[in-house]
Amino acid sequence: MALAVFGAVLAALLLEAEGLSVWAQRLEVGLLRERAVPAATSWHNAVQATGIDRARQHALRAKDEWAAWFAPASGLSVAIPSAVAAPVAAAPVASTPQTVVSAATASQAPNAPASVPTAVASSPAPAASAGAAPGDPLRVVLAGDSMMAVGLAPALTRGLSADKQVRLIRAYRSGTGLSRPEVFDWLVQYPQMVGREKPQLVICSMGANDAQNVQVGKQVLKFGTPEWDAFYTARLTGYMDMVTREQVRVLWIGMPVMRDAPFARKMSRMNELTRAVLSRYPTATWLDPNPSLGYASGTYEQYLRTERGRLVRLRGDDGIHVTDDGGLLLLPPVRSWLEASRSPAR
Amino acid sequence: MLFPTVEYGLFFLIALVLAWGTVRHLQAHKIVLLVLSYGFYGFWDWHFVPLLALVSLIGWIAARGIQRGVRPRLWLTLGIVACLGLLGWYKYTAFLLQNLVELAAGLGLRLELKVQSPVLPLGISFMTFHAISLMMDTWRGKLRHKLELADVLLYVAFFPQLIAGPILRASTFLPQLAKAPDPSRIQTGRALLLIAAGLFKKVVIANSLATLLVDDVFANPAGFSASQVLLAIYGYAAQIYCDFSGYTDIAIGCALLLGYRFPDNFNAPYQAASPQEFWRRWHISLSTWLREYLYIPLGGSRHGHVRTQLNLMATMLLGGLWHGAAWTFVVWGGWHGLMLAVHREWERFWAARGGGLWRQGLAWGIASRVLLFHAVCFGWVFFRAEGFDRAVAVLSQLVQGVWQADLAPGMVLCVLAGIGLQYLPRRMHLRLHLGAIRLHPLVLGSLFALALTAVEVLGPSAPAPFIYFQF
Repeated sequence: MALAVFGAVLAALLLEAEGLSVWAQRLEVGLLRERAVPAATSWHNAVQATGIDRARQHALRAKDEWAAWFAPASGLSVAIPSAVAAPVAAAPVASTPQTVVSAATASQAPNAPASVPTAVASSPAPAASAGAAPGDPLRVVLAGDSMMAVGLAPALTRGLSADKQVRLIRAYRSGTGLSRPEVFDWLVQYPQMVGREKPQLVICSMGANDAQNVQVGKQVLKFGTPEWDAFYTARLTGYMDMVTREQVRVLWIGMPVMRDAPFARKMSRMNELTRAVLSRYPTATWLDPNPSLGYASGTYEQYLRTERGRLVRLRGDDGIHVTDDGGLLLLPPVRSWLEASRSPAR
Repeated sequence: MLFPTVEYGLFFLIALVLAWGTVRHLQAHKIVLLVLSYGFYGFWDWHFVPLLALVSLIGWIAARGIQRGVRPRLWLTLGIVACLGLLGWYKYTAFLLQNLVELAAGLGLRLELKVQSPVLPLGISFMTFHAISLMMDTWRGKLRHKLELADVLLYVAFFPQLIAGPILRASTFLPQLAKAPDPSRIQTGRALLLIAAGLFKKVVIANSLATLLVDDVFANPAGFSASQVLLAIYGYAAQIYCDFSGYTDIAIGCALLLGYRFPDNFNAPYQAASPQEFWRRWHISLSTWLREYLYIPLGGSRHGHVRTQLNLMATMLLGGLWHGAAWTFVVWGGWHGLMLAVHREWERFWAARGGGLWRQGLAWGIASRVLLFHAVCFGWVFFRAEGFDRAVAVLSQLVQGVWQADLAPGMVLCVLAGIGLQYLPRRMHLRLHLGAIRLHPLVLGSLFALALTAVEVLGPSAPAPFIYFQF
């Protein structure tokens, strides 16, 4: 057995030298990463010189070439074509939380146009439909990390699939963020995810993975320090500059209150930073999800009680992500923003 | 620490070195495995390490009480109640309270209960079932030797099975701890084959199906054609099999490399021709556990026909609830209970008429398998869907949606592979196994590394956790 394991480790070190280097880069900033990155990089360079890892690179290229073969033919990865999009208004799940919204945000009329609750007021901007041919659906990107992928995207997709004037483009990836470009670089990946689509609107929710230390060159920037804030502000600014090109309007859904108190404080700080950056973009709107989720007092609740005394589960077992029902509660403000974006320039 | 990660690979290498390095000193060897197992669990969330120890301690104290013979039934009852109490607290509190509030609301009453589920400790169902198995096997006299605390702690916490099984019966695993594993008897070829096959099933097939097909369709079935929805239902059948059996294969392979034997957990379940056969092939360690510790204590088939059917249904309903605190899981369990009950009636009917020779023909063999597979898929819709509305929406879309040729060939291939792999003849498995044995160890190891690279390259980049971790 020892010989077989030895053979496996040796062969894996040779074949996966590049994979190990990528793995080391993605480790959390700390002692392990500090040691692993130089070791894995040196090893990768040494193996690369022998040409052993060429087979892996060929395989990865071949996989990319065959990607279309694995992508769903329609409706799935890129957009929801109106041909197969059926109304979901009859779905009882969708109706219950909407009732709750009116209770939770009693002071707001859920369908009142351009009344996005507790959002950073955006200055007048051209309507998103301005550049589109009449009758063309609005091309709306759903972007972000798992906060978008889990709960929000399914709810928004369901809630908006009946609207034939909206074409949704999926561009979210769990386990990502803006603070660790070596793990996933949104500035590089986003254009590839959107592809040839020319989005007019972007709905984004991101930041749950960002509250961590980062390494810039040899310097470690600790989360919560002014240096980290400056770094993240620059990253977010870069992303927003890219996304808002050609007058694309952005709705940024902030982080809801989290169950774990220290994590909730971190997310509150992320909201402050994000909100500050977005306020500099006339086409961007920042949406506080907490009032819609019934967290007006800022206290985390797993369930929301409706006016009829029933309970709606808002959050998953992890106390972080919203459930589909929780996501549906955000549909009214998102719809309001969509309506406002559709209408002619104010 | 997920199995298909570099972190686990490094952890397991360290575990191999430490475990075999101490194998000549049995106590030290077991303590090393115990520390590694607690470290593995603590890597997820160290807050729950004391809970793991507590469940094991409850099992050990009750089992020792039973062994001493003073009021053994009381010890058994207390132990089981304590374990189930912990399981219930963590897993079912919010579910119970939510249903109470809903019930009251239905009656026009307003219950002001604060519903908040505690953070669910990973693998709590599995550790609880191990502790109960320990107490029950002691009660039944299958464990007569004095139970050592270290052995019991290791039995409950042994890291290859800790998070998602297979569920080991105390009477089959604890005797393995009585002596040190023999390094000359390790089936390295079989172990590496199992690990490579498990990784392929999990990372390539299950993850691809989850991230590229199933998750999207189940999130919004109305947005997809009927043909895509049908493929997603088949896809989930393939995904859950590859996900869970893949995990089990890796667990069995890792345990084998450490010198321990785990029972088989899957045996080509979609080859089954009847519900009874399906449960002899699907999650075997759970169905065995349910039969041994629930169905038989309820009376099994010893109290007449009607009582047998009721026992079957009760077992399957509770089995469904074990999978998750939601009514959809209860419905899934009930559906299987119903299938088992109907099948029993069907068998009785034909037994009274001489068996029905036509049922032994090829046509019926194929038809019964196709029928059962689709009945199982129907159950999976409720198992996978976030609620009844979603399950109904998925099924409705099969009727209301457009049927068109819009299936991605790669996804069809994944579904066919996930289901079709089970139809590979058994002799092919044997040939592979024998071939692996004959290889030089260095060649075997190199081929294993090549398989790992293939899995890494072919798997999707988006993460997809193991389905059974949530149970």
